[in-house]
Amino acid sequence: MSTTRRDFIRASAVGAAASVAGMPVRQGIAAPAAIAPPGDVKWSKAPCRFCGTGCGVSVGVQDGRVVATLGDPEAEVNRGLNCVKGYFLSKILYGGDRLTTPLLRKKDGQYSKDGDFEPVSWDEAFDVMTAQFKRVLKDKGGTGIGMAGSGQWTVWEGYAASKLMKAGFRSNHIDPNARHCMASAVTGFMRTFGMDEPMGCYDDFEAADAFVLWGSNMAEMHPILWTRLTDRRLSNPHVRVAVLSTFEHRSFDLADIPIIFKPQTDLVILNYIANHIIQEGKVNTDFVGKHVNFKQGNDDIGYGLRPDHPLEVKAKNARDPSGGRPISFEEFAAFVEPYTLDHAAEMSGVERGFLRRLADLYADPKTKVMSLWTMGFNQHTRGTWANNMVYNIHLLTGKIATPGNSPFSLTGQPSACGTAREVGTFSHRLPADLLVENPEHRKHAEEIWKIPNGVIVGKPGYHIVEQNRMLKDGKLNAYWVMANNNMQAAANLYGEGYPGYRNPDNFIVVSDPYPTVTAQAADLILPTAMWVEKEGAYGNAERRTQFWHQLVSAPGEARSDLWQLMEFSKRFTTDECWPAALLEANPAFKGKTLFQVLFANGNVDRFPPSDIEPGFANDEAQAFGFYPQKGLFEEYAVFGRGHGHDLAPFDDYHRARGLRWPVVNGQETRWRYREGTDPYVAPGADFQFYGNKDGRAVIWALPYEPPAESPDEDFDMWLVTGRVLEHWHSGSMTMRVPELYKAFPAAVVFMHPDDARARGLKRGDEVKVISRRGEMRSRVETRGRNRMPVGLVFVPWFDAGQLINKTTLDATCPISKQTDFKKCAVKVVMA
Amino acid sequence: MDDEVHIASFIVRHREESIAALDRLTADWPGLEVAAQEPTQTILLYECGGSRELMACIDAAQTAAGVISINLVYHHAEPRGALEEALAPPD
Repeated sequence: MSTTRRDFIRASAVGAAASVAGMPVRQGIAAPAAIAPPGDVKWSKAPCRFCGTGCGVSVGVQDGRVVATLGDPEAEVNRGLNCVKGYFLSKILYGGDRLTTPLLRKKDGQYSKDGDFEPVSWDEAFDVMTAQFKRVLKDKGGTGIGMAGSGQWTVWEGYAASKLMKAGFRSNHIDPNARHCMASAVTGFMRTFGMDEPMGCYDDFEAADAFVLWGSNMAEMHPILWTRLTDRRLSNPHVRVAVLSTFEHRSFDLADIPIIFKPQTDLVILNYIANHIIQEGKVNTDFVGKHVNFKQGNDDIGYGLRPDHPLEVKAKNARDPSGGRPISFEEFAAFVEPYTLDHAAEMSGVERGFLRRLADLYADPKTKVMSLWTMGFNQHTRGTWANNMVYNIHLLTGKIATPGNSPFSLTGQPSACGTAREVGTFSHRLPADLLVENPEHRKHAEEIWKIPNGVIVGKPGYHIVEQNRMLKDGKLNAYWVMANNNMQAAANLYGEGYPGYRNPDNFIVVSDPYPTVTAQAADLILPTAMWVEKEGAYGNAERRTQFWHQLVSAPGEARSDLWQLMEFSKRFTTDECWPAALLEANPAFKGKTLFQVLFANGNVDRFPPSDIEPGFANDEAQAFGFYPQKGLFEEYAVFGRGHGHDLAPFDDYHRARGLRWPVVNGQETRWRYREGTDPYVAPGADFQFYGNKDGRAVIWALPYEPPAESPDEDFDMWLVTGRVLEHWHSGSMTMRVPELYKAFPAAVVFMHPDDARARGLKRGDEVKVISRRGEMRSRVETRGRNRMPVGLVFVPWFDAGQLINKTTLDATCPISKQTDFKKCAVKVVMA
Repeated sequence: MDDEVHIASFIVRHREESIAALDRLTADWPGLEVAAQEPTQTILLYECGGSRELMACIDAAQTAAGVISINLVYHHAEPRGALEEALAPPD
């Protein structure tokens, strides 16, 4: 009997799955590598373009086009698996409305704020953009210029942007959309450990005895890590999974301890667990005595709203939200003592038995616990506190920095860690956790960058929420948005977002591959190369830095963000951007272009194009005559080497499936702060939290405080926004993948059936979701993957046709400045 | 124009007791079959006419009782006629 192509492909499908799953392959089914003839498809490695998990994908290129992406079986993170978004990853490059030429608002042949978009050349686009930026420079200096960046920038794009803004234009008003995503995780790490990013890694999934998901829906948002967690639970009957959320979602399918709590009362539950550990005598006194300090944080810290908002005016510590004072263990114990089981059950609405079982997971010294969180903690008006408080319970028990004992902050963007955080694209930071406020840090950065002392401004710039407010107020007038869709992503769209973009005093530039909501609100749109159309590097949530080569060309006139930043810098001189007195004191810098001082500085232009691995294109090297990615990376790496952020040599990353920093003597680090696994821990120290000068982590005494806005008579429901499996963030890429679009084509309002009935609604009805700030239309969904408690609705924000952020409140954690997208008050009525 | 056939495989992680639910799903869902099975993971093989059916199938499998996660591993589409061509025997 002959074999058909159908037989062959069916066998390939089963063989591929069996290989990834580690299941025996039946007779007659060969391994996929043997049965899948490569043809003329060239396969290369790259990290996935979507979330912060950092899965490795094999990218197949044929005739200059990416034709397939498969899970990379050599990638430690995902071991050959892909989630559904990753599987269709290649299709994000080929949306029908991909931007291929700059577009400028024009009227009568000239730029006009109220004109319509017309295609223009790069020269015309940059001519107009330069004139507008110089107008603002002349009027206000660098303080009138701002930039919204991204955890989707490659490492070198974020680094180059930070240099251009902070050293070139002398403006610290650069901030990534990662501010919306994990700023609370950053400030949580810094307050507790004095150093950013997790101490553990994904290897903890195979070592933990218990997993606690604090507000995270990993089943949909981090599906590959969820698969690893699932494997651990199903293969080891003793393992337990606790899932905490304000509504029931797919992750509850695996929950041994399912907990639905009232919004904001996670703070109460966290303090109850700390109190339980103390009351039950389960404190690891040896660990605490040697490695921990205690502090009480300032309370009544406000909600990060505008300073004249009544909630800020009446907040006692709105001006010093980060402050605190040292206390003793006994004072900490007394502080959390009121958080009893009864109090926690009453406040949270959770059954006592579930709370007790949750607390016992942490208290039992034999149970290794991995705590996982993302937006539930971070998008929270007390997000920094929530991060601090989960570290409290790991530190009280000494369950930290060892395999399986792991408080682990997941991230939402592919390089939220590698770019947004490590490179220093936040408005208050410089590379490797250095701060613009610290004169020594500025001096160190200026030395590495080979620029005069005094160029970098010492005052933190506007964070991304504040940038919208300052655009509206006319204090920021030239604004460049790269690799984000902040008009759709930021809260209070009508109140604080759109007005600033259309303020006649302002010139707004958006670089993007697609005509997003943000791009359409701009004055100039620059078409951007994406993912494997350029050489790149991302850093994932477990400190793993991963590289990829340029594999295809960008369409039309689209250019990478790196090219845009470097090319634009040629149009400005130091005389236009730096103070005359500073140039008088450093005459060698007079009259130089920003390109010369920032990128042709002997560091960035040090490596020739011949260093590029044969067989791969590099459009930026061709344009500038040197290998800018390598030069930027090696200059950036100087910040961290020898300081606990060590990165390997550039070329090593093109060979490896990523390496977890610090990389010392060629060895990556899996668990930081622990002797034997972290080369920075001194012999005999056992543990050493060396981000703090005394090597001790901090346990913070912090109270429950109410949210900025709660349901009332007028707006009687909680609104929670978030994501769904099929779409990534604002949907600007995944909504252009036919399979993903068809699977979830439009946002809906997930609602409890009783709430629907009480309002005369039924499934599928068109409704208006209304808050004090705006309204949007959607349809009711009372079934499906999410099951709501009475009084709470969930609306995903991926849908550009249903902008839920018209209704949300721009209240933030006052410490991290990250918006709380999980709690505001709305009403839902028939449309 | 020749219609397309889509052939895909998924890895399903599930509780041991959900094997019966997966059996019911494959019995009720044309083109879907169990290709390999262990107590807590199953490989499903699926043939269908388009990506809409493919995504609907994933969704249906996801909602089967006891299913914890599902990953699409392999997906191939080509015209039906080409699939019926006999492969040359190996040398």
